[in-house]
Amino acid sequence: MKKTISILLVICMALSVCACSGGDSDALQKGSDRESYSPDYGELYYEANGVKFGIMDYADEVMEKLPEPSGSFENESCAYQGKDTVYYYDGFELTVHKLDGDDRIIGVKLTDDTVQTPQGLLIGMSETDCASVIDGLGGEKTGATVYTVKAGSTALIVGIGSDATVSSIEFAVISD
Amino acid sequence: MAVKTKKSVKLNIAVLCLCLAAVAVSVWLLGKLLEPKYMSGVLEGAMVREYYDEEHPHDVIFVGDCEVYENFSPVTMWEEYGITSYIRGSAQQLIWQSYYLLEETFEYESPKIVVYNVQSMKYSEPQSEAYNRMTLDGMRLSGSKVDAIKASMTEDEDMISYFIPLLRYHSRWNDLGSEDFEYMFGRDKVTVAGYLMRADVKPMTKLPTPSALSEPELGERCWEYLDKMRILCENNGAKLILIKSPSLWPYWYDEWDAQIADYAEKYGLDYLNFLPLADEIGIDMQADTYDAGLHLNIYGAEKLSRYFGEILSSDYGLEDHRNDADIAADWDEKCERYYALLDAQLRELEEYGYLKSWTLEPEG
Repeated sequence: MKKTISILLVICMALSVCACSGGDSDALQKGSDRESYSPDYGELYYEANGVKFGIMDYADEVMEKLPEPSGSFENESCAYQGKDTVYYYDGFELTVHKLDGDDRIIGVKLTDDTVQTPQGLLIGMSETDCASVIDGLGGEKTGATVYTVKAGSTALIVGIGSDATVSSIEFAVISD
Repeated sequence: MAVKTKKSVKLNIAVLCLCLAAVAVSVWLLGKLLEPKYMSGVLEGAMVREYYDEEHPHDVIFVGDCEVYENFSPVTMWEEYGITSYIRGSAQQLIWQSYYLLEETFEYESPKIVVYNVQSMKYSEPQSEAYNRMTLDGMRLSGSKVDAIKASMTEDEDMISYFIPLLRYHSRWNDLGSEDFEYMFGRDKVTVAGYLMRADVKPMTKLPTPSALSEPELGERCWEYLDKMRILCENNGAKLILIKSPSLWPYWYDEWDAQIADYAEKYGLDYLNFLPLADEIGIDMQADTYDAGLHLNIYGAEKLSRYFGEILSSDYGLEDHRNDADIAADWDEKCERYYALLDAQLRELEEYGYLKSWTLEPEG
């Protein structure tokens, strides 16, 4: 009888261990605490209205210093898992995602040639000039029409159009 | 003495078996209690299992993500053309999940047409456990389910937890609500033939700027599964139709479109990209979407279904089943639920200004 009880106890313990090992996978993406947060984007930041900001910055702290956005778009993925909100500003869009209860900046995208990045990138500039800036930042050509610079969790991605000029500029989260 | 030992061994075995059975039943019951029911809020997790309640086979099976289960109304295709169809869709359904759901579907029936929405070709790797669960937990135990889990798991997932839900959901103790007890052994239907209805309207305003495509080539793994899907359909006598539904966001790149068109041409498949046909279909993104251009609401879905139903009926010669009494009775019941749900949603919109429950069982 003692043996039987021992075997059952072992089974129960094994189940408990299995259960605990699978328990935290719903913490899909962990952000860091606001107090201990320090940006890891180095020189890959954007600046508007005298406010410098970048990927993973706390959106509320940045947005309170910017003018009111002209509009927004809720990018609701299927079943509302991981809803992003895109805020429209003059010359750029700010994409915000909720992580552990806080809105964090996960994308900054330039939308026209009225603005340029602090690094000197501008929509409409020639590919040659763009390549020179990217080279200076330590980036490289990563596709037929794309240049990329990486720092920390930020990727600065520049797209080249069919007319050999810059067609898109975006700061994004490095997905892997 | 020997007799006593033998008796004792037998008794021990009997007690052990009994205890093991008790443990197994407890684990199963707790799993049933703790697994999410998806009966309110995120209804999408309850969709896949509803297919097994279907009583009659279908001429058309849709597979894919929200761009099928939100954008096509099987009831409209039935009412207008007598086409029997079912949407085996789920939230962010990846192509390997579509493939295995389809493989499983062929075990139950032999549809004439399979429709796959190509939006999910953009994902060549597993994306998130939350979405995996919404598709895979609802599948019945089968070889297709096992293969679907293998293909879908993210790094942090364990296969065993798909078969013993308690291992995954034991930490939901604190979140248990009345819904968990009420729907422990049975769920309400949240769809009508796989269609998840939304009757609210949120006009499209301005869409975000699309990102530059770092990698224009669709993933190799996706092509592999599209090949498998094509061959599966061929082997089962079904015609595969590739579609891109007219949802305006997430952005569908020309580069992706060209690759799908090339593939379709190479293998003699039909590829219908509904995006440039939106005006012809009559879709008005000021009235026919509930989330500013991502998904169609019921009014948009009905327009698209009329348009596609006409193609299926005239170009593919699908039979009109409206004179078949058994099938018609089944679809009468579906139509009844469809309009009851529409009424319930319209009442909610009138009362609250937004959809509160979306369910088939209106409160009060």
